[in-house]
Amino acid sequence: MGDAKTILVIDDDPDVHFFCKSVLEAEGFRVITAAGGASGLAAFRAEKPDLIILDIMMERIDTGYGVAEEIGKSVPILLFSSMLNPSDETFDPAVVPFSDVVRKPIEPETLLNKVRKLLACGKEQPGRLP
Amino acid sequence: MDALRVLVVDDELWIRSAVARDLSEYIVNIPDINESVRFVVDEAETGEEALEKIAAAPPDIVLLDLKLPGISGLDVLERAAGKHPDTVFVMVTAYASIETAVRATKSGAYDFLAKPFTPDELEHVVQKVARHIVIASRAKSLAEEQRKVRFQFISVLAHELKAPLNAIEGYVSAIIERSAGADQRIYDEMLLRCRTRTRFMRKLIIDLLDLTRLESGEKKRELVEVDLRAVAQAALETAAPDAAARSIALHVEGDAPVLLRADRSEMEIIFNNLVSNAVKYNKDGGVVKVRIARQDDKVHVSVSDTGIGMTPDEVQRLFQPFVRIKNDKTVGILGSGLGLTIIRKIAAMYEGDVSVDSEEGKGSVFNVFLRDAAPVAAP
Repeated sequence: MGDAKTILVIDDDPDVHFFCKSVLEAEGFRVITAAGGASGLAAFRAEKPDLIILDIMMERIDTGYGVAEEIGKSVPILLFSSMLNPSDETFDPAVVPFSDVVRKPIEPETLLNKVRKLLACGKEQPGRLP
Repeated sequence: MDALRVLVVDDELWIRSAVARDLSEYIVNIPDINESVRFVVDEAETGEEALEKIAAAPPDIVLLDLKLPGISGLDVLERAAGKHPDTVFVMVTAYASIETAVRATKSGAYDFLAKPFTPDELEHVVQKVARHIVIASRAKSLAEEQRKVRFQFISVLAHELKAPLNAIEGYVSAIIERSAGADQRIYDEMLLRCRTRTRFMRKLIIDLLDLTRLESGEKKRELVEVDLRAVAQAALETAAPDAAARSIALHVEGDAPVLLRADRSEMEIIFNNLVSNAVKYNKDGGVVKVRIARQDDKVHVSVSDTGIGMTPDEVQRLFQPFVRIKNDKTVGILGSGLGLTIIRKIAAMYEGDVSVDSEEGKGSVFNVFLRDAAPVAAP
């Protein structure tokens, strides 16, 4: 598993953690979770994930935007949101530092497709470095 | 409040000048809502000029002479009143017949001022109108404020209802599509988690109904002597399975009944919420203690836990609707976020209140004070 890609999920809903772990680990990814912005940033620094999944609706200073700004553009960020309009599919990375977005409820296929796309690895080698 | 704008419509220059002079120095005090109002006066010589000025910038008050050289004061009233509902028209006339008065009132005149009038008579009418305007505007801004609060409440409620639905829908899709690999235990766990979210969603809906009923006063109250210690015991029994699963000990101190004149279901809501919180936010192996004591005319209920406690900042936000303390220690603790709001509402119905002493890492003590309900049910 040494070459498995690591995905950090930052969301305050424990069911989002379990869902992402179940779906992504089945495809060979390594998944770590954090419930808030502060612990998310700590995990980001300690674990150096290849991709971050981030909820935008966390409370207080833990807002998704704040975390995304801290992380910068070093790692692709997949945003989870239950607020966006259906038309908000695209993001301008210059304005909003997210790479892509998934609206809740999260469909497993959609999640996997976006994660694979962001990690730029094909379906044949899920979660592995090319 | 800014000055009220008055338009004086009269073909006699000296009357317009006298009114302008008088009102520019006049101040109306409305002590019951702590307002005082000044006036800025504009003038119009004819009905036509009045209509132009009203259309350009609707004044707050129009003092409108009935008898004007061109179109009459009634014509002005009939054309302008419907278009400018916030403008108050006062008809000024030397010879108001009943018929004219009826017609003017039907067309939207608020009051009459008989000519000739003294400064006192003018001020009396203007005071009445100003009071009407200020109170109406205050009522309007209050209603707007309520609409805003309501909108916010509904928005947060919608979010709180969507969150469990999203979780359940995600799990169901994963189960249908077998997205979590071959291990059946993961799907079993997903099903258990779906059930938990469904239960808490139901709890949210029940809490919401309780809150709405309390606020509307629609809930029938049956006031009897309730033994709070027995209600507390029942709440502990309800919480016992969850507490046992995490080795949390539950105690009620003493065993003599403590009577309060109250509605039993309201007391059950208070104790169930406090005890359930004390278990949920406790540490494994912790303790929940309930103390109930009568002190003169009131009863003091305290529920203490040995749980995670809160920071002063968290305590401050705690009693707002839907606020649930979220940090790394509370992950996985579910709730409606309405329990304490409901407790505070109920306590207020017993001339009481609820407060909390909390220390981060040590635990919290919730104190509720209740007085006997008045013999006649009056929420």
